[in-house]
Amino acid sequence: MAHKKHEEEGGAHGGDRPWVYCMIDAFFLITQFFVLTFKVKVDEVVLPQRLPPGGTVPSKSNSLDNKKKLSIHVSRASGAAQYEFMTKQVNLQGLNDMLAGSVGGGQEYQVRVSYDAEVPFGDVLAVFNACSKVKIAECGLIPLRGAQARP
Amino acid sequence: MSMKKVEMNQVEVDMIPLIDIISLLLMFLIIVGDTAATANSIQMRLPRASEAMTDKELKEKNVRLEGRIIVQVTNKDGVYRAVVNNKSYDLVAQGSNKLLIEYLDEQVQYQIGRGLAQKDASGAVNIPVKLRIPEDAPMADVERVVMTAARVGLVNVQYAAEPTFGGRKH
Repeated sequence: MAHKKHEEEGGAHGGDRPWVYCMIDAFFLITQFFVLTFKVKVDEVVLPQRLPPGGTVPSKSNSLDNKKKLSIHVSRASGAAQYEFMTKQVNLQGLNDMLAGSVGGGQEYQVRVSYDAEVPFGDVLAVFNACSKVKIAECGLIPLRGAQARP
Repeated sequence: MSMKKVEMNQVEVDMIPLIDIISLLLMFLIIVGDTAATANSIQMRLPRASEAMTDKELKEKNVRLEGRIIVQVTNKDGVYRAVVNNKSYDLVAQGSNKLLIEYLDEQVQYQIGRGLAQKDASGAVNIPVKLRIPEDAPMADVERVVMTAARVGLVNVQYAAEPTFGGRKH
């Protein structure tokens, strides 16, 4: 745009300051770049958890800690996540309620989550999230065994 | 033709307001935009977690962020792979990818060697590891990443999640 104007005017202004047109062109290009690559900054959040000793962590101190162990199994039934906690099959809301009802001080507890191989990660993170709600900071995974643990 | 040229010569376009407006637009885009983060982080749909915290909130709660290692899981043609510092690694059963273990161990030893991290008696290292895993990744692959981290003593796991606006109870 700047060049065209410059040519049409026979270089009247450009003759004085030809660099101005280059500068404006570069400026437009930079603006274009930022407009095209623009993405609103969203602060990513994280859910902090500590893997408990044993299970996924090779440790000798497994038998030494006095924490109460809770086991939760995650599976899928008709496209929805199902959680087995204390031999009861519940949905996520049910799990939240049961954890809130049965866990007093979260620091005394440790949760081990088992799952079917094809369960999506989002369903298991929902368990970690439920544990965080009741202040349980140690959540580990029980690795798949047998046929489910494909090579 | 010549008349038209004469008329065009008489028109003076004032560029200064235009440049001012574009400068303001440019400044806005630079400040609000997120070009650096998108260059390093893989685009993925993260799971939602109402209890997840921002880095600022974690600092307030004295959760360690220094020296954090970021492991991302990406799906390429239906195969999930781990990406650390733009290098891609296979996910092997039992988390036993030697290359990835060696790389993570190198990072851990470097930080321990410089006195930036400690390893306790059980082998756990206090360096945090941020796991960016898509919400639809199957657990068979996710456990491989977690086990790899656990093998080098990285037990302080921070699972990346999408923020839930208004869903969090303080």
